[in-house]
Amino acid sequence: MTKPASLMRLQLPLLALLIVVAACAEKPQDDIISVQTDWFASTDHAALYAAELHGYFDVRNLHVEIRQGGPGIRAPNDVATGRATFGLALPENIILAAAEDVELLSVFASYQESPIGLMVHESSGVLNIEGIENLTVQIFPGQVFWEVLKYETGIAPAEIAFDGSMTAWAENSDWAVQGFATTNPFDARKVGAEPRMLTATQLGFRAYAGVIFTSQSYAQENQEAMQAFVAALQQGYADFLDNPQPVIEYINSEVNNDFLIEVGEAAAVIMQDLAVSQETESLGLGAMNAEVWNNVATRMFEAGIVRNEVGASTLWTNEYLTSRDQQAVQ
Amino acid sequence: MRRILELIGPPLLVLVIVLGLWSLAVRLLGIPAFVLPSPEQVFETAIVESERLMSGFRNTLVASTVGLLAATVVGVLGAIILSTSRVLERALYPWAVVLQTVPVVALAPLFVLWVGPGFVSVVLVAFIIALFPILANTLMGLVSTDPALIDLLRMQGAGRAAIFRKIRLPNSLPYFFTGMRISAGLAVIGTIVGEMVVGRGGEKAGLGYYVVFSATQLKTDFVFATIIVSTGLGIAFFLAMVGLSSLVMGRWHESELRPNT
Repeated sequence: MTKPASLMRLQLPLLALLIVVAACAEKPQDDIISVQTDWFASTDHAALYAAELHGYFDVRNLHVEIRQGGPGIRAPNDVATGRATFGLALPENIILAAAEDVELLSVFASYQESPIGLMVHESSGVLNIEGIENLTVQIFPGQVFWEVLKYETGIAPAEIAFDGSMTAWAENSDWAVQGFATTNPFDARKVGAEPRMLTATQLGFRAYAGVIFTSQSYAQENQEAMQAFVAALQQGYADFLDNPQPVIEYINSEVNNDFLIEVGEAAAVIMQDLAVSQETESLGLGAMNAEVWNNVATRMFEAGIVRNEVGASTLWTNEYLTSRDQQAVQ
Repeated sequence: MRRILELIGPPLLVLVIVLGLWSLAVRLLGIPAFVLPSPEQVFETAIVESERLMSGFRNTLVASTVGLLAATVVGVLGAIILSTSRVLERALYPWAVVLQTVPVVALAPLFVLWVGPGFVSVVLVAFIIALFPILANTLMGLVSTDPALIDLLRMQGAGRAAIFRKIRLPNSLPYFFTGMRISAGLAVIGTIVGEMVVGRGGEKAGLGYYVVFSATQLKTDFVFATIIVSTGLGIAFFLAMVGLSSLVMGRWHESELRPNT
């Protein structure tokens, strides 16, 4: 029996379509190190863009391609499926991935204390998590720090999905909105609001943020590249913290025109405190410790966010960091 | 019984084959659960999360129903008004098309600003998405009547109201129900999109909210369970329209009387 002619005619375009789709699927080329960030380019990704701007990747023979994130982009998924070599995300996402048997390894923390949190109106008088009870909270559904804090404190305020816009929050003085301490308070003041930022740490959930990670297998098989990549990040980040202006201007002019210079300048001031800790003083920028990781993992399990208790010790390492003393020797 | 079997047998068989292939592919290819969970895992998660899924189902069902009812009332009234005058149709119909092409997700933040977050905003999204097919199809039915029939009634002295009641309205019903079948599914989709963008959390969370919630926490099996329940709701809405159409037109319209081939 012969196939109907119409079916035969369909086969060629379908085959062509399949080839195009397969060709379009983003797979990292062998010699390119791709980095998938969590959001549109900003100073929250300063270590990466500073290293790119100052040529710290190039001098180490690393061909790095930084991909901007955005709504719906989940860097752990991209790294786990091999579409990106490195990713940038919250450490909670690395623990969530581990609970689903995805083996990722965090190698650099951009923030020692997460700038993520809730932004309230100064007039609300709210200073802590208990005060949030009486507000309406506009937050991205499933946000881990918020789910943990709700579970631990028993508060149950009205919640609405965060649509990415601060406009409705600005109009409602009894609302709290999810935000980043580095950028959102500046935006809020521009529209005439008087914001007060309560970071997750201030609310009772200390975690790192802007964690750069790769797959366990990539780390094992590419020790030299790992060392070089993390060294470039450290060097770039140190330069940024010393002199942020060139990186802010680079992000604004070359990467993301919507990221305003004045927002970057305000963020850079806040980052001076959030990027460093006792750990980074001794081990170098990007350092992490077991206590913070274990605490986050345990609380996520107790709050029922992960179904299995995740051993956090294999999810991060300071192995590739270079301390200031070592840098001085080199 | 045999008729029911003939009706649901083939799609059920396809479902069983698809589930079998899906399960086999996950096992043989070693696909990680966060990329594609097996159907068994999705089923297990649906049981574990049944309380949240049921609550989400109820909230989405209510919002979809209200959105569809609002779209039906406005769509039918709008079609009747537009059918009364060619000038009105020319003036207003293009704006109905514009409304259809506006990206509703982009409007959602404005809805929050104007009417507040949650139920009303979600219903507005469902309403806008579901409106056009009802309006366009009903209008088509109202204006595409046989002129000979209208002339016949006019010769017998019938007025506009009688012509509308006896000719235009019955003629528009098949078109109206075609629009309803399309809009029923769209109302559910609109509600879920609305819940994803401007929906409430906690007890008032709908299925759309849970899709984002579970995706944020990398619980792909929960995402699948939510999608399956959402799809079930969409199918239930569609079948309800098919049943209603059969109830109203089953005894007289050829589309409902045609024999099985």
